[in-house]
Amino acid sequence: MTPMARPLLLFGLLFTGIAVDGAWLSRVLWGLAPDLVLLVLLSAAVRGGLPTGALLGATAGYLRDLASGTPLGVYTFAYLVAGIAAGSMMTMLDFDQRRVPAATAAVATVLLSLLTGVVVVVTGLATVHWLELLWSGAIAAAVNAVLARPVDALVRGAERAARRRHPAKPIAYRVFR
Amino acid sequence: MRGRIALAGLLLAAALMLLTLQVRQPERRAVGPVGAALLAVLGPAQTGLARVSDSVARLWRLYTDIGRLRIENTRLREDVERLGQEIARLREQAQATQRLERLLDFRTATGGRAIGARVIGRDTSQWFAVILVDRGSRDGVRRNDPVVAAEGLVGRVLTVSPTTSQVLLITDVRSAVGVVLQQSREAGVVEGQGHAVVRLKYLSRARDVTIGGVVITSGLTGLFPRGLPVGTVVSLVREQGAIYQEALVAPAVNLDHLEEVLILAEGRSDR
Repeated sequence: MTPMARPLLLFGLLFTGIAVDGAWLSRVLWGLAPDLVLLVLLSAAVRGGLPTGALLGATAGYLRDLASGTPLGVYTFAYLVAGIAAGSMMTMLDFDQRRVPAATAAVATVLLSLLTGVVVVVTGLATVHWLELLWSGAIAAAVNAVLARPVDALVRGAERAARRRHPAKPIAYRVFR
Repeated sequence: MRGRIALAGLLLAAALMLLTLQVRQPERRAVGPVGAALLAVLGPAQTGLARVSDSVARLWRLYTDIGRLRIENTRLREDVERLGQEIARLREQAQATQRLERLLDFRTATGGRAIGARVIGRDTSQWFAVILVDRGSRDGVRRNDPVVAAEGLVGRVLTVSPTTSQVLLITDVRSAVGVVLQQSREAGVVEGQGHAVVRLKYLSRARDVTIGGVVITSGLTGLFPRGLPVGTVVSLVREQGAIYQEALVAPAVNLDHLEEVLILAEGRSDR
């Protein structure tokens, strides 16, 4: 894997996540849609560390801002914070443990939801109904918890596949370190 | 470690700055050249995915519609079949009701005790004309009781068992019924020939017999009450040198399609 391959791969995954979220998952009713972007971000950040988390978080948030039509910065800030938090917990979280991805995804989903609400309130962009926000956050957390491990496996599988395509190249496992 | 924190801080600051700039004029959302380029790529990707999902949804709807339509089709076919059977049953019932109503009228007009009977069998030989009805001696039927339908005379009871009776039709070669021509009151005897028509014998050559003339029972033989329609004259048979003239009479009752009859238990003129 070339030094730029991993960032490109992760960007591709985020981009795909955004596209899938917008085109498919946004149609799912009752807030049952998973946040694939967050799941990719968590997987990459926990395994990659703080810089990976920060850069991917900012990118993921920016893409989400772009795609969703919200004022730029709302999701950028929220996902950036999520990415930094996940990356800084790299040494504390072992994503290979069976339940860790699910628990991390559930907690991160709720916190991200609350953080987004706080950003919206602080900036005065809209009124937030906290109970509704918590309810939809809890549902999304449950769905994300179910999908966390498959998405983590997907991210790792994609990285392995990318590595096999460049066997002679050194593996830059943590690109940004 | 400092570098990482610095990177994170820098990104946070950039995000906050972006947010601040955008929040000041949220209605003027400026995505910039990078954002525009990303959206330019993202748009078609999302459109493609949406089309795929729409196609899948359409296919799924089609699939479910086919299943639903198949079930509905089966149900409708069953309904059609059931309703067809019901219509046939109701038609049958209506026709039976009409026949029975006519019989009832006839019974009322005839007077006396009449026993309604259902035809349950028929002699299939080409020489004899006998039907089997579901009434017998237990119901009060006796040998030689006249049997009629709504249109007129059918025959007489030939054999009686406790629960069934055999009826000799007027077309049977063994049958002879004393009759008169309704208009001229000319008397004669109608004898069966084993065919659909019966022969009217012993008519005086001096009297004119008209085609279409109605033949009714005379009541003279003691077996049949007076005035029951027997049939209508369809042709005349005049043989040279014969003392009497004859005629062929079409029975008033369609004897091939009898389903219900009345047995006139107290209808004999000798009672």
